[in-house]
Amino acid sequence: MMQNEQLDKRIVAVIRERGFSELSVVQEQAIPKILAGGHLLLIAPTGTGKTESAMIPVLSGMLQSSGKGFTTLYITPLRALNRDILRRMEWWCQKLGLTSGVRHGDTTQAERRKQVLHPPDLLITTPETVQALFMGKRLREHLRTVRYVIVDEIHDLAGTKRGAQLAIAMERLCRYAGEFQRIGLSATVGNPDEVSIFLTGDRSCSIVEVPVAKTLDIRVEVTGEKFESQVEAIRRHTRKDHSTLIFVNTRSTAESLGHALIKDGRTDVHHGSLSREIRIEAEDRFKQGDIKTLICTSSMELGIDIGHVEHVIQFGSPREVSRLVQRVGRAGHQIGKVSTGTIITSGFDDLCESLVIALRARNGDVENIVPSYQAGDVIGNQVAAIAVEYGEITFNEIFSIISHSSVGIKNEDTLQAIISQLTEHYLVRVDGDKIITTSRARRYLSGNLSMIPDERKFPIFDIVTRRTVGTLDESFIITSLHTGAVFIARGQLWRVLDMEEGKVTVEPARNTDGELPSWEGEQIPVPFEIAREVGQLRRTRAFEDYTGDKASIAYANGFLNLVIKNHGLIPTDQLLTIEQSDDGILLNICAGHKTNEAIGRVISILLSARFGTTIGLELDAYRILLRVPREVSIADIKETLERLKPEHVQGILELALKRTSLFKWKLVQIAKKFGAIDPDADYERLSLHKMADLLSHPQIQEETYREIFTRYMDVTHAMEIVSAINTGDIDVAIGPVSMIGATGLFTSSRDLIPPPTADQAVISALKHRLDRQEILLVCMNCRKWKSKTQVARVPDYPVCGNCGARLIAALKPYETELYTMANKKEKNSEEKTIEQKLIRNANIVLSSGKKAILILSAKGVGPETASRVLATYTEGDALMREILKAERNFVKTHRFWQ
Amino acid sequence: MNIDFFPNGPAVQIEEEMRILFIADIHMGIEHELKKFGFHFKTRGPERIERILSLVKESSPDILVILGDVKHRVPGTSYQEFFELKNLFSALREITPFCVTPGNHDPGIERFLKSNEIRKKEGSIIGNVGIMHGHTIPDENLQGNLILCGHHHPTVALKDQVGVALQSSCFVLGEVDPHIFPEVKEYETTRLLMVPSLNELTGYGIEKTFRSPFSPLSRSLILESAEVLLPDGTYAGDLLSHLQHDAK
Repeated sequence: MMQNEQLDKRIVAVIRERGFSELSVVQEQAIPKILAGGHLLLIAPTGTGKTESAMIPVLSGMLQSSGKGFTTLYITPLRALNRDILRRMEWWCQKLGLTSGVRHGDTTQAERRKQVLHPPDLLITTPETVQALFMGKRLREHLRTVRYVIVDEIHDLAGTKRGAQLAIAMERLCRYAGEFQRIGLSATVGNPDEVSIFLTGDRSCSIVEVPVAKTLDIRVEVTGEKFESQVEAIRRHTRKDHSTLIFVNTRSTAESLGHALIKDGRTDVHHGSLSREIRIEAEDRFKQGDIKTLICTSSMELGIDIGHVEHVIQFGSPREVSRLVQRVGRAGHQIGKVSTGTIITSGFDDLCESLVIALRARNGDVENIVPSYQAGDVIGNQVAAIAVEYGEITFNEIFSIISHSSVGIKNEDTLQAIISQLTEHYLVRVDGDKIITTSRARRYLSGNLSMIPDERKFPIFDIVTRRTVGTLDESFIITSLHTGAVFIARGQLWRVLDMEEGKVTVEPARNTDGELPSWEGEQIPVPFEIAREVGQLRRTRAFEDYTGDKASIAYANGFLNLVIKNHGLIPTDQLLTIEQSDDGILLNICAGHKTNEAIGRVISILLSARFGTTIGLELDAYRILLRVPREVSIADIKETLERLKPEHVQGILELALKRTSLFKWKLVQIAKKFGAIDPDADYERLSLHKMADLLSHPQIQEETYREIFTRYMDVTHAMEIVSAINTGDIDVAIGPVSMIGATGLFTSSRDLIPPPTADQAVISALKHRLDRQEILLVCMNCRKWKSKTQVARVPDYPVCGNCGARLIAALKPYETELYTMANKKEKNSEEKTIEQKLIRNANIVLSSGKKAILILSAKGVGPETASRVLATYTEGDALMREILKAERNFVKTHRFWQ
Repeated sequence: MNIDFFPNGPAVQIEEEMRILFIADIHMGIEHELKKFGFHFKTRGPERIERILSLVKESSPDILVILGDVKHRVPGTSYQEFFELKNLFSALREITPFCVTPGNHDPGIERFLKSNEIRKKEGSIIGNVGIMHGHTIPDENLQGNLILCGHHHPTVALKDQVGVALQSSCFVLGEVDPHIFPEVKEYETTRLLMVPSLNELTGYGIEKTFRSPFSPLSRSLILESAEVLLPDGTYAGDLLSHLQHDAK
């Protein structure tokens, strides 16, 4: 019963009216702590009354305060959540004579004006709108009365730049409101302490945690790779007419699944690409029971109220434990009830990964959240915002605000460097120790309230049919857009002609000679530990420890037996296998996306330097595919991998990262946040391949490195793998193409690593050009045979197809008539000279074979020059350099210019 | 005719009776205009001026020819241009004779130049070569000569077996269809050298330029005759090999 002495009498009455007879475990623990006035991080599954736990004591406190202004800021990551919270809080506030309001991107102008004149006691808002509050003169005044800040779904914010920005904003708020009470509401995380420090900085913070694991009931099923059988499996589960949420990992899966299930009736689809109205309608219909099945993406992970869910289906591996826990936690939405979830998996990787994740979820083994510490762009953004807020402010004051937050910087020099970067882009002016705002800053801020990197979409315009055939991501435009780039859209190949008037003009392409792969959005990475455990499971086959489902165990064992039957090797946590496939060379490494990203790039960089060629790279959590030219063998790759030393990994990556698409794209995103590039910049005005040079500012580059090394690559674990290879704890073996290698889906990360220097790139391109050079072989013995071919196809020592002689001259395709002239019965002196020249040509080919032909196929190289080049006795790249030199000399001759 | 390449410009030098250094498309003041399109950077004008001066010092030509688009803003002249152009020209005057063939970005350039420093925009002859910016139909006097022009900012994507290995500015050299001239003299071959832009921020892929040409000269270039050179004079294949991808 409600017997809490410290709660205001009025609120105790309202609690009774609401019909709450007893407090939940969460509420019992949290309410006294909040009433006592300390900062609190409250960790509990969705639907356990977290919001009320925080709000009952806060409302009680709010009743004691008076005066005009906001008393409480309730911050959530989503507008949809804001609406939900408002709906729940309005009732309480009305009963208590308090006012409440919501303010975010969708709030009308009229409503906003009203809030300025009559600020509600409780303001429900988003991190971005908190930023906007500081920009308005009168709104800022209303911040002086703030006593409570509640950050809901803090686990969703703490690991992001949005979160870092909010953490600094709370320090800015202290300058108006003094110290206020901070309350964070979170789903289960692996590292509550770090999240609590994120919330409060160096202030002490208590943590209340309700374990989630014992309330979870998760099963894993396998259906096979056919989409129809996956749909059937879902139908089996939804037939019982329970209310079911189906989580999928991508919007396109949501769409195709929706397409298959909607005709069964009582099903709808919910994802971020749908309009707000359609989403809200789907939520309402589900809540009211009009539909029983809702297919959704991560958009439904957070606690949006959709009523009672009996069963959660996860379609395909959830990739992370925390994601699974949160998604399944949506079921059994009542205190004390068990949440039931089923993972429907399609294949071997998917099954093993899901088994590992499900077991970890049952054990409560959730991933850590790592805040964005000292992110240069966030701090730059906040410096610009502070300057706008105050007009002018001293360096020391800015430093004191920013260094107070856990994600801020502790070093004055770094802050100085960031500020001087901002002056480069006209966001602030520095005058002595004063930082002064500029006319551009306010405009910049309204375009950059959010730290969420926005990705624009550009229409693809087919010039042949004059129709728009789809859209391309900005990342592709920035990194790969050049005339001739080939990419896949709608299952068809397209070649880029140009970008005009904000659209990408293309034509259909037939082959992929020199294809430049696009990458398809950023996907959820599988963590290192999970991929390692999957490797272990492949080795031990202890499937029974993970599941009781006979079909799954049989499927997994059957798959592995089949691999062995086909003489394949099974890559495990202790065995790394290399396979030659049609697409390239495959490395099977169970190490997760980020670690494979680091290893894959290091190997590519080393190969591109050693062979002076471009290397294509694609990868997922269990394999790396390297697209290499013919001269790079599987043994070369094994050797490169085995010779790699762990201590070199970071250095190699730092040196060569700049040449990759990933770096360029991140650079542009971060430059936008630094104010160097507007969100809607017109890329047609610049030569995009020079973008990286243009953005060579130290702070932008530094933040790009920091972000890549913390968010995209896991160097520490890559070093661990490399040193395990060095010590023999991980064996490396070359094997035939196996089902494990071939089942890979290379969609998560693709990039091209060009040769390290322009010189090497020119040589690599020369090889490619000469290989494809058409050449005319003519017999100087029988004088009756000629054959047109490409240099690459010429045998080492060509012979005449007519007489079998090896006296073959190599001519340029346009020199056919020279052969005719040389073969004339009656020759004039000019024709005799030509004949002599052809014979000399043939003699060179006779003695040096294909090498001579290669040299003779170069621009302007005749027998004399070819002899000179041959006399250098060079091979490989050195030979190519001699050929380049010969061509360059020819370019300088009079003959070339006539 | 002696040809020398200065990849750090990029620039090209032709020496016969006279040593002439050619550069094109400086686009001074581009940063100021880029602001309108969403790019906010400090000017690199001083670096560009420094680059040009050191080219001149390296080549010590009898004359420097600037093949147009010295400035960027049309119409009008920005503050940035006003200062940087004055600095550029006064620094040049101290070390070399020079002339400008005005380009489409150059209206108003006259105020910065002496009359003997301005050439006819439709083209003129200097030494044994024709010079023009390249946005207009060439003067008939240029027929039968080697014409150097700017305006096209050519860049090329060099491919190897796996993908694009390098993107670079480039020269394009080829024959011009004589029908571009009012009075066609079939027996005279007119050749054209497109000089890459000295401005480091701009560049147009040759693929696009020659598939949908945007100037009288690019329309009249005989594609089969054209070759591509890198800024240091490295031969980079014939133009058609860069325009045709699909294996036959």
